[in-house]
Amino acid sequence: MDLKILSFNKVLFKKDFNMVKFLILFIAGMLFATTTINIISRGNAFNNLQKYYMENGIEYNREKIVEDYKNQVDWVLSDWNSNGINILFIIGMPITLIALLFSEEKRQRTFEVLQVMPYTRYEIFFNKLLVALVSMALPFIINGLIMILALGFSPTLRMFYSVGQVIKWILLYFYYQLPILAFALIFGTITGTTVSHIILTIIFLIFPMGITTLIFWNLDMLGLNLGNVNMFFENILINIMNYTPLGVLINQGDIIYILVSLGMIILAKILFSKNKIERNGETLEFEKTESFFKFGVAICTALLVGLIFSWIFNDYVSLSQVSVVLIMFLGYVVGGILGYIAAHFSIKVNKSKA
Amino acid sequence: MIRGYNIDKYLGRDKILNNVNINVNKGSIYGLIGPNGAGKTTLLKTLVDIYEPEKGEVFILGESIKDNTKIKAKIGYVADNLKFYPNFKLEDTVDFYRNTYPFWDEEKFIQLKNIFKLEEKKKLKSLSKGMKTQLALMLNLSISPKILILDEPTSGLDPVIKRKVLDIIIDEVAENETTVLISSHHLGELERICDYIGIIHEGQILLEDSIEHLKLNVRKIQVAFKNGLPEEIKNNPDVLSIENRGKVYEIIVNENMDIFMESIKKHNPILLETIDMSLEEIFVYKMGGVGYGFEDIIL
Repeated sequence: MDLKILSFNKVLFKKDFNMVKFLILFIAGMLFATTTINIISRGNAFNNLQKYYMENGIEYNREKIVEDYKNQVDWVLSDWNSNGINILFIIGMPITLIALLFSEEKRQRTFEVLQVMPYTRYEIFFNKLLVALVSMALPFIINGLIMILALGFSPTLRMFYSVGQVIKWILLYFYYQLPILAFALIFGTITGTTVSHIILTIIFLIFPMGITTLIFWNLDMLGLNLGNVNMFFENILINIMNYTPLGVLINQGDIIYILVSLGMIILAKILFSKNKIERNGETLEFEKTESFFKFGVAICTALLVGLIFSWIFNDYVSLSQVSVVLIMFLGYVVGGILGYIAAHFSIKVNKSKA
Repeated sequence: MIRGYNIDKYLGRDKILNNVNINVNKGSIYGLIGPNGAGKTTLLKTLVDIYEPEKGEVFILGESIKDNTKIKAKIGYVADNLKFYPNFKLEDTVDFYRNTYPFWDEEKFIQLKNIFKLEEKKKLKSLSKGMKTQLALMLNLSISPKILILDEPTSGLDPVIKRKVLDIIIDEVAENETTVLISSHHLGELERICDYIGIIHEGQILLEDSIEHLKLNVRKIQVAFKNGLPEEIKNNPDVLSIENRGKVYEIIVNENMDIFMESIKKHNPILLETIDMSLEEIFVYKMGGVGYGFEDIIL
């Protein structure tokens, strides 16, 4: 039996890499401007500070400054929260990579070209995934190498960070990005256009928290806030956050996220092999998910519009509790209908024609 | 060489192909003709494994096409609405094909490049539809295909290039015994190059026959009798149509020509002449009964 688990194909890899190389360069540049410069300029900054203190005869504690610099560099290298732009690298980059590698091929219907060629679906999927993983890590590897190279030139920098810290930084961001990439990959296989892929990935990434918050707010407005309900929902929210791909940002070092990512990748592979090429270019690849999508959007919009209605009316007139409930139910009906129509229309407008 | 059995294909809820059977022999050029929306593109995409049929099977070179990379390496496919990677340069695309197909023929590629004269540095999104078709032909002929499937390859081409393309296809068959399946919505275009014709209408193959057989068996006869057309001739089941101008009758006969001629001669005609028909005329008479829109396929 020919059991081929790793199906690396140089030609497919090169083609896919060509499709994303501009993104790799862009992210590498951004990373350089926001992180690498920050790290490698510490040597000069420290020397200038020392020079300044010495020239002006200011007494200083060298060890303390070194310790401060070390801590600052460590913070930048180990905490994603050290710079808001890191969210772009952790969430934005994996989603964009999958969108370029999968959804763009669907939108432009170039999967038809690949399907006619002597490649199996598995080869196509595997090489795209490989390119995504490599591309995700490459900007960090490039910048990591620059940081390591800088260590060779600057003895001062060696006081602030080590090669090991840089390698850990590269691996840490790969660990952060992996669940997001795997999650985006699932949506890349069940959606047929770039827009629907990106929107649905982001919606479902925040959906578990969003829907819990929405339900909580709705219950609160309906006057069903019973005693410890606040605490209860906060606990639910934290738990939900832990069990979504975004939980990786809180539970650093938990291996479960790597295992779940592998599970999601396997699921995406199964879904990809079931994709019908004729549905490329449609909002959703699988007809069976259309009803779920329509009703899901309708329910979320209903909850949201119900809330908005109650907020708007509460701002202008003082309403009794009964009126609030009625206004909210009106909002549910309007929101539900609007959401359903919007979802239905987005599916219909992209339907493939014979 | 290409065999499709009982193929049903739905796009959404619409049944596009309805129990289609198709048979293309080795080394022949098969013209698939039908008006826009008849199901030509869907059928071709099903034959090359882009679409998976809901029912039926496709065999190419004796093997099922489904996920068959060995067979796919021998198939050239030129799509109607050509999909290439728009940001790739022409040379990147050529490289992609060159490294993908195991039987790539560099000599042939250079030869075709000299004919079509496309600039390799150009980006694909800057190519016109005609140029894209030429590129697709260039690539798909260079892979040394055993099977060449072409979906409306001449649409959007100027007459000079159109002729050149058709000549190249004929040469390919003559030199390499390639089996060609070519679709068009214009009958006249394919008459010159095809051995076999299949007519597709509303997702069904209405007729599949060799041009030689059609031309040999469907004939126009001019005949005149002293006392008008005998009933026996009028009621002959092989008669497709009868028209008369004075005493002269024009009879279109389908099949059993020799038997029909014998029955005419029995009635001592004063005029008897057999006239060859164009493919166009043959289709008008043969398909007239099924409500087929000929005006859509005749130039």
